[in-house]
Amino acid sequence: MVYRIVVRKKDSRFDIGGIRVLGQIKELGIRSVSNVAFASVYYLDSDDMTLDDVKGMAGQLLVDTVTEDLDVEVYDVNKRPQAKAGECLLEVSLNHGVTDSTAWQVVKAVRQRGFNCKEAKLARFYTLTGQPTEEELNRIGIRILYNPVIEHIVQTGEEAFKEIVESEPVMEELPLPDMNDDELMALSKDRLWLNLIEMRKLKEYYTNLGRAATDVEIETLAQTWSEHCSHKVFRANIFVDGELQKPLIKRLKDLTYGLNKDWCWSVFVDDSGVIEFDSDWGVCFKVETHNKPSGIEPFGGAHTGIGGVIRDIMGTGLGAKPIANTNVLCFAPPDTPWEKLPPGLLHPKRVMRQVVAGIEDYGNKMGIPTINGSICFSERFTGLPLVYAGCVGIIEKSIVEKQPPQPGDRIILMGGLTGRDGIHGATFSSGELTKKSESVSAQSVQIGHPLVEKMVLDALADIRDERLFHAITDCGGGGLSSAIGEMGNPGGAFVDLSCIPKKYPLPFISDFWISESQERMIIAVPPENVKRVFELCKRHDVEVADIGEFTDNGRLVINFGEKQVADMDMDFLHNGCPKREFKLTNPPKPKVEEKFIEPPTGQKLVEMIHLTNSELNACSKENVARVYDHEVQARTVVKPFMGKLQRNPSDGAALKPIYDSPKGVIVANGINVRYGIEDPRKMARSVVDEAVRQIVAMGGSPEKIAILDNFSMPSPEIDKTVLDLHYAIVGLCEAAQYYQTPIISGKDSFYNQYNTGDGTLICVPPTLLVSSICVVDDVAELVTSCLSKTGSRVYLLGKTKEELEMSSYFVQTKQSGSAIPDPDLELNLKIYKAMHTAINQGLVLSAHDCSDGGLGTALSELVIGGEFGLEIDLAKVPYDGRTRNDFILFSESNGRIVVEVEEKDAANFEGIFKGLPCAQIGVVTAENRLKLTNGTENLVSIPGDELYAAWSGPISSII
Amino acid sequence: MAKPKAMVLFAPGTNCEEESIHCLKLAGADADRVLVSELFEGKVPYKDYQILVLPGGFSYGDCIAAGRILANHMNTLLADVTHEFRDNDKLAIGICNGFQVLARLGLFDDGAGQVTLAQNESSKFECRWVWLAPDAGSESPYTKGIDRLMLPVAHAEGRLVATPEALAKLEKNGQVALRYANETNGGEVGYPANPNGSLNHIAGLTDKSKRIFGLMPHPERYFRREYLVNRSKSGAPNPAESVTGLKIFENAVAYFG
Repeated sequence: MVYRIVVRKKDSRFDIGGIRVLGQIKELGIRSVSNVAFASVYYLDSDDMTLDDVKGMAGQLLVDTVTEDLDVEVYDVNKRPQAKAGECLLEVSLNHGVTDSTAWQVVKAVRQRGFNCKEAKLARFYTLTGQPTEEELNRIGIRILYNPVIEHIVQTGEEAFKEIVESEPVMEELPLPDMNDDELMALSKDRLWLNLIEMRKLKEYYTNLGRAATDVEIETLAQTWSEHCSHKVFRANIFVDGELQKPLIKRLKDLTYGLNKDWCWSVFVDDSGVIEFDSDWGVCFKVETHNKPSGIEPFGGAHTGIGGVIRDIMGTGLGAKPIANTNVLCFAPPDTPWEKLPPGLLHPKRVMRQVVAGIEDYGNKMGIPTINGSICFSERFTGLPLVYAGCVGIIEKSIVEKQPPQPGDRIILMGGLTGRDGIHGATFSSGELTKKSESVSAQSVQIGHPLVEKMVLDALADIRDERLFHAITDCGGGGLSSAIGEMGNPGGAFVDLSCIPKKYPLPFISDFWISESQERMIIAVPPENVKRVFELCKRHDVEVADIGEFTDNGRLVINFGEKQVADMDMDFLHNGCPKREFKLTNPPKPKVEEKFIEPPTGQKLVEMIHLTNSELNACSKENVARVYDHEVQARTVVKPFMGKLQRNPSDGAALKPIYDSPKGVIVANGINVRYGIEDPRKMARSVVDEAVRQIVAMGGSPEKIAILDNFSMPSPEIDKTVLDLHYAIVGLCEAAQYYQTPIISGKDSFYNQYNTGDGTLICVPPTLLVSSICVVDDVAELVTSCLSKTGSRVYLLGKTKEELEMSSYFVQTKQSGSAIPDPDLELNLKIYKAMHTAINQGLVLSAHDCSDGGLGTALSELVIGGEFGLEIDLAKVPYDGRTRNDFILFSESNGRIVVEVEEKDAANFEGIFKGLPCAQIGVVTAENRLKLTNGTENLVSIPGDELYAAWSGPISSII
Repeated sequence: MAKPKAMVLFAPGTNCEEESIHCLKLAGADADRVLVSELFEGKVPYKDYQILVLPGGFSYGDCIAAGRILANHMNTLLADVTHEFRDNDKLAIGICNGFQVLARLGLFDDGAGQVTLAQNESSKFECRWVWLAPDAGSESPYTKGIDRLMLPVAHAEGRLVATPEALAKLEKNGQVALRYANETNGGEVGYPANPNGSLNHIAGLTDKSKRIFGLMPHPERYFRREYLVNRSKSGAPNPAESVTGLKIFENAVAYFG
């Protein structure tokens, strides 16, 4: 018997779901709907429960009697609820086969009450009051209520549960030796994403073997050779104007190895980079991109992006403990008009909300604080967003070094069940998005399940503490094929796919092997420890299976039961991919025309300050930061927003990883999505400077900073992409070399573009995220951006130059013809070292760095804190360029920090900066206002609340 | 005085056990993480414990609603454990998700199903620091010696809602232990001072015996001054530094002194 249980709110005030949807319908410009009521629906299949039993159970388990009502009925597929006049009803349910964790918990809870319950299923039920047209209803459905990739609208006659017919999964033989070029490319398209040279190499290999390939083998090769897994561009031979350049990856590695920092414990060799925390502990940091999955299904993509990077930390060394998450997001402007959006794309506002919701859900449920991030905007992200997810962990020194699995070790798979999630995810991420992607790549979207990952994390911590395994890795892109393929290289491995616990019957044998089902880890366990590992998994309710053995014959052998489905040479798998080559020429630089507005004065200047502060890249991201728990684990000392009113944006975040140690870790990031369009080299130099500067402003030592690089680029088949990348890496290496900041980890992402179908490509701008991390001796000594004393002096460190091209101010006012900021690395490093000395001597009350929006936004943010005001004389700002108040205020020159110093410490402070650009530009005042003068001329006087309203406006209307 | 023993209950999805255990130990208790699965197996001598702590997190992923599945366990398979702390002279503290579980168990309204923690009025999860004031009439052992304190909240379902009769009873019985407040007395306690829209600004409740305490804010996240959100470098006096969340755990330990 199938029962349908409906739980609805008694009072519309508690109907948060309905209120939210109504708001979104209004945003679509649809006026025909006046109210939305939301209800949760549960279907339950039980053969021993009566209607009263179901009512009793639901009353205790499913309903909140204070705020909700309950309806229970026997479900009749042909008698769906009928809409009353003036109402529309929509019920959204997950597609068959998509993970439904809540349903499973309901089944377990019902069984615990002594009933037999076969299955449960959830749905969301919306009652729309009003008479929308069919077209409007469709739009509401697709754009707000459900995502067809994983959900559908329940129709009359639809059974709640479908019988699953299990048939033996099949394998396919691919006669590569007999295929011509066309056939090879047809095989590659939308599945392997390998180019002709690579396909020919495969053909040659199997021709020499004298046999057909199996699909399991070809899929394994495609995963391993994918750009996602093997970084072909970073290893390629690149010629610029005929001159051979050092491969990109080699430049990064040479730089770090050349810096030879003894506090770098593990770089480039593990799932994350590890630096020294103290004599017993290391700190590790990894940042990943998850752009394409987030473009297709923003919630699921962001969800699994976080899940993946957390597993990277869990898989570092012999298992680190994640203590903080970071995320940097890039979206198209949320106010993009619908008519400007190419068909097939989700609206940026929805993308943003869903990505943020995905991060919120996963990060919060993992119990890992999300402490730092950025959100950037550009029209070039209309095709897809960028989602960078980072994770910081701590690890005992004794287990930092990874061991190879020993021959005879069992291959233990723990965590989530395997389904068809994310099939071809790694190869798919090596191709561009198109209108077709939603359907072709639907199965490339992984569905996350944070509770399972949390359970795996807890189980793994117990297993690690008993030292029960030799090696560990996570299942990410490419699933088991990458995880076991890499772990078993060069030794060898034998796997029996029939031992893998599955969510539901899988049609192809290769599904088991390449599925990217989430929340799975592989550990190499000596046979004598297997029993104990299983016990500990059971204590934490974690699925676990013994699926094979590591060997020493250098081969990857895969069976399904008795049947062999792959037998491959590890060496060919990992070293057989042909090297790529790029021949590039520098195009002539176009000259940018000068287009300046009249220098604004008086009220016009006030407007410009608000306009710049409300530019999407410069404005407050507070509403986003607040939906992430940034306090869990009780380690967060410097939070995203600080101060009496909790409105001061911090330059970075600081953690106290070990409760009993005063030492801390600062985490920050530098990113700019505009400069790279014009000059990737300067962009890279600027973002390194920003990532370093923010740490210095908080009190970190410029000599103890490590950085991570994450590139997001369009297709490498477009010459400009590789040229841009080349120059970005030139800039990255110049800055990192000068600042002596080792690069401890990195990741590159290509094909970040959308093909609208009519040949138009929307490419993301060349984007480099530099994340930075620094260990500090005493978190109690760190500096925040909260002004703290009336009468103290305000200094500006660094030189302001006429560098406004692509600045927040120029973007808002459509000006051009200035220069992209280019940091003076030599000068800035001297300033940073002096700043560190000043903070160490306790001379700094507060500090805030200047980035998007320049000095104007930095000063505004200080006043927005709410307790104090500023009186600033722009004539005192050390400045090179045309003397215009707006240029001085909004220049985005690097290397600048606003510093508050107590009057009594002024002489000492100035002494430290002797010979460097450091000028007192004003004082802290009691009244909460920003007053600007130029010499004796009064320019503006703006109350703090007015600044706050403009600065916090854009995002607070979205989240 | 023997150290009281605290049992920090750990379910799949629980995530504030580490800092809760740390605070209990700092406050002078012995504290153990106890897995729900170990209780199911009957291996845990739960009667040896004097304090039960239900920490924050998302037990069982908060599926159906916050704390719902764990409350279901504590009402069925683990009813003996629940009764041990409810019926004897012992303490039980539920923080955030733990408060949601205790409320679902009916410990604040004798199982009448009239007190609940609904979705925040803002409809959002929200993480921020709030000011709290103990209720003078509550005589809660947990808030002794606290005049006012600042703690972080981080939840989506923390809006205390009760029927008018139940609310009147909570007030009359002195069960309201903590309210959201402004930094100083006076003035309307609006959003975000009351971060979730709780009726009567209720942030924490005790049962009638005052031994069982549930609260949405996280005292275990503020056990050292450097965690404070508005710590000032200028040396100006800061009332939020004078007492930390640790005091609540110290009071619990002192109950057995």
